[in-house]
Amino acid sequence: RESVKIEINNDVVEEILVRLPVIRLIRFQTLSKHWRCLIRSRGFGKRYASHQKTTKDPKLLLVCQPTSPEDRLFVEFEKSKGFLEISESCDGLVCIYALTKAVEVINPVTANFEALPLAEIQRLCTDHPDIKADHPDLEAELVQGQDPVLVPAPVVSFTRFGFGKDSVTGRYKLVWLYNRYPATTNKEVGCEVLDLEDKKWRFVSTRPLLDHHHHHVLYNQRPAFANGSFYWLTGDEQGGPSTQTKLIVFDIHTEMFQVTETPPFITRDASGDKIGLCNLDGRLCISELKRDCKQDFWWR
Amino acid sequence: MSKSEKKIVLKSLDNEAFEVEKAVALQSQTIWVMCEDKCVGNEIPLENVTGQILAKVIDYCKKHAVVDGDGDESSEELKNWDTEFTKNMDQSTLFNMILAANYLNIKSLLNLTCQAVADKTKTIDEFHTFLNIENNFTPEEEAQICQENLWAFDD
Repeated sequence: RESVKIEINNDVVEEILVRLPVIRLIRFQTLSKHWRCLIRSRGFGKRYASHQKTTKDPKLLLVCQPTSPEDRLFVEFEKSKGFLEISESCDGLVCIYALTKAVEVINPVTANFEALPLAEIQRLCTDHPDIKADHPDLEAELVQGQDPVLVPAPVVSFTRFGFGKDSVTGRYKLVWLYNRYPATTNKEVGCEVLDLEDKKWRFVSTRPLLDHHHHHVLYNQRPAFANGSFYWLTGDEQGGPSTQTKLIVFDIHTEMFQVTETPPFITRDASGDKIGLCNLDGRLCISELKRDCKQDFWWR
Repeated sequence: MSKSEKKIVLKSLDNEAFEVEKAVALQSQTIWVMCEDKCVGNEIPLENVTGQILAKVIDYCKKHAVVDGDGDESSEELKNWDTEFTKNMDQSTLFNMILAANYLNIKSLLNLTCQAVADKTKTIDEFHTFLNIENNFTPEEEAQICQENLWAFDD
C-alpha cells in the first residue's frame, strides 16, 4: 500500500466537512488546530447550515419529561414556576423560558446553550408578591405599584416573545411585546428587544401603536416572524380578543412598529381568537376560522 | 466534422491514453477550457490523475453524458448508478477521485465523491491516514475538546 499522503486543498476538505452529520463534525474538531478553528467559525456554520437545508429532512425537537434515567437528554432544565415556553426556531436555535425563568438559547443539535439575563417583564413577575408566594397561576390578577390597597390588576398580560434574524446584519433578536397594567400615558404597551450579540434587554419605542388608537396585544399569542418582520394581532385593553383586529408589524432591522389592517378577506369585525398567524415556508400566512367552520388562508 | 475532431485523447500521469468522445470529456470544465483555448491538440495531458482513477472518471462522464437531459425515470436511474459507483470504492480511491474531480472541475462528481467520503468516514484516523493533515493537538488539548463535547464523543 502506498503511504504517500494525499495533498488535498482546504476548499475540498471543507466540501467534505459540510456533508458530515453533526455528531461526526463535532468529533472532527480534533482533526487539527486549523480545522477546529474553521469548524467553529461563523462562516463555516453558515455554509454547513445552508448545505444541510438543501439535502436533509426536517428535524423535530422534542421537549418532554424524562421517563427513565437512561434517557439521553442533551439539555435539562431545573423546575420552574409556570409553563416552560419554547420559541419558534431560527436557524436551528430555539429559546426556552418561562415567565419567571431567564431565557436560554439552545442549539439542540450540539447541546450548547446560553443563558440570557431576565427581561424587565420577567423581573416584574419574579418580584411580584403573588408569584413569590409560589402562586402557580400566572394568569392571576397581580398588583403593581406601591399602594397595596389598590384593586389587584394584572401587571402584564402574558405574551410570548418572537425570535428572528435580522438578515441585514445577521444578528439574532428576541422581541417581547406586552401590555402593561396599570397603564400610564404612552406606556400601555411595552416592547423589549435583546440582540444576541449584546445580550442586554432594552426598550424600544411603541409610540406608533398608541398614536391614533390605542392598540394592545392579543393575550398569549406567539408572534409570527416572516420576511424580516414580526406580526402580532391586536386585542382589547385586557389583552382579550376583540373585533376589528389589526396587525402589528415590527421590522427586525429598523426596529419600528406599524399597525396595518388585516388582509381584505378577513371579515372586518373578525375577533382575534378566530385569526391564525404563522410562518408558512418563509412567508406570512394568515387564516380565519369562519362561522361554518371553514378556514380561509392567505399568505404573502 | 471529421471523426477525429469528435474524439479526444486523455493522457494520464502514468502515460495511459484514453480515447473518448469529446462530449464525454467536455463535462470537465478544465478540459473544456483547454479545448476552447486551442492550447492543446487532440491529446490532453492530465498531470494530476493516474490511469486507474482516470478510467473511473471517464466511466462516470460516459454515463452522465448519455443520460443527461432525459426524463425523470432516467434521473432516478442515474442516482442509483451513482450510489453503486461509489459504494465499493475504498477510502483511498475516493480521496483520489475527489482530487481528480476537483482538478478536472467536474462539479457533480465532486459533490458525489465528497458525499461518499462524508458518509463512509467514521473516524478522524481515516483522514489522518490518507490526507496530509497533521494532528497538532497535545493529548491534553484533545482530551479537553472531548470533555467539552462529551455527548458527541461518547459511544
